[in-house]
Amino acid sequence: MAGAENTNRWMAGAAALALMTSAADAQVRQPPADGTGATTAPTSTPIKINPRDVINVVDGLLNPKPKPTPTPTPTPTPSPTGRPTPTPTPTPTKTPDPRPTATATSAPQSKPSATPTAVPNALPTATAVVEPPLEELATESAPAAPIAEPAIEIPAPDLSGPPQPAFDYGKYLVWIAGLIAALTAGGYALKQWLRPKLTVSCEIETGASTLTAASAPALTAPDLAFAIQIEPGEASAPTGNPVLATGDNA
Amino acid sequence: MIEPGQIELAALIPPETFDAAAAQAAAELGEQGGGRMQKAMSGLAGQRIAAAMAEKLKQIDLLPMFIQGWGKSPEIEAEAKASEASAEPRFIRLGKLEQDLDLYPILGISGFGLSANPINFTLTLKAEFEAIEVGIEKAYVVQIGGGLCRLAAVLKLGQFSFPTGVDPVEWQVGKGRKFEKPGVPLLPKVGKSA
Repeated sequence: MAGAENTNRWMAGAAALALMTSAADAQVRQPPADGTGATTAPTSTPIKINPRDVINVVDGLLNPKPKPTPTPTPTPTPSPTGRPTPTPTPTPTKTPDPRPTATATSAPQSKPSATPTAVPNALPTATAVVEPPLEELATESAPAAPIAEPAIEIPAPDLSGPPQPAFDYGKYLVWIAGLIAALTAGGYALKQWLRPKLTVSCEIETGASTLTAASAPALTAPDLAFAIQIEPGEASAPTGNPVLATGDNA
Repeated sequence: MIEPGQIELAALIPPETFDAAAAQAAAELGEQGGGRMQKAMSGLAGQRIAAAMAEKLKQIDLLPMFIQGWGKSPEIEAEAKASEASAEPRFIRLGKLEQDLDLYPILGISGFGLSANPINFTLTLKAEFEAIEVGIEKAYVVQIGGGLCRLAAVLKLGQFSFPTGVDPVEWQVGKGRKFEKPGVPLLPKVGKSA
């Protein structure tokens, strides 16, 4: 039992490697569109493989979920023409067999589009035996509902989450303003401390008198000379009652 | 010199009046193109103009000026002429007289080697004499006494008047005042010589 599990893991790893390699080469063998199963030359059409799908596949291989009861493999219904009609799409109950078998008979079970006649050509080698189930898994993993949720999840950036708290510029502005104020105050105090203590005294000598700075406003006064001349006019004639009494010797 | 009984003109005009007149004078100097220096000198003069004019007015004896105008009254003129023929002084008692007298102070400011344009003021005095006794000798007033005199003054500079804001000064003549001979003439000299 343990040996089988190791084998499964090894096979899963090999399948993932092959899938990655094929994705890197961007060239895969495409089955013909006519469904005849004849292989054609490799086309250059790249197939975009979602890495997540690869992870899902690998995880599904490594951690297989307990399957309920394996449903019987749908057998192709014989058409009126005698040719078996492949199942168009896998049913929800159809789960890919995590254990790919190396037998050629397993290919028609998981490859609905392949005809039975194409199987011998599609699986010439051991690698060819592994490839068809992987292609099927890669192409059918998206709609395959039964694939278990991946246990390993790559944390994707969630842009729709709760908004991150904005950068608090106000706090830093207050801090910078305080720093500037402190530097300014310190600089002013230093300037005051370093300022030389000078006392200026001034004396202005003007002629015979010495004026100090306190009396400097009077400096211009002694330099101005005034010449006032009053020319008398004539008095007007008196009005009223000039003479009341006369006498020779009052 | 101010003598007893002399009217002190400076008491009629407060310094503030001279200050206002000096400021106006400085402005007029600027308008007349007197130059910045002259205007500055007038501005610097300021209160000194008032003080200088008040000091000058103290030296003016106003009473003789008014007495010279008394001779224009016919009654006083007649008494003056009558005194010429008399060897003794004649005395008359005046009633109530009102007189105006204009003085023309001319202020010149010099300094810093420059001289500002003269500032011409007009000082108008209004006097009211009442019950003054006058001694006349040879048509000259030799002395006065008794009675009182009221004086008011208005300082003018061009069209601007600077009221003194001071009530008329009342001067009590009292014992009177004697003038040096020949005294204050009452009659015009021209008429007398003619």
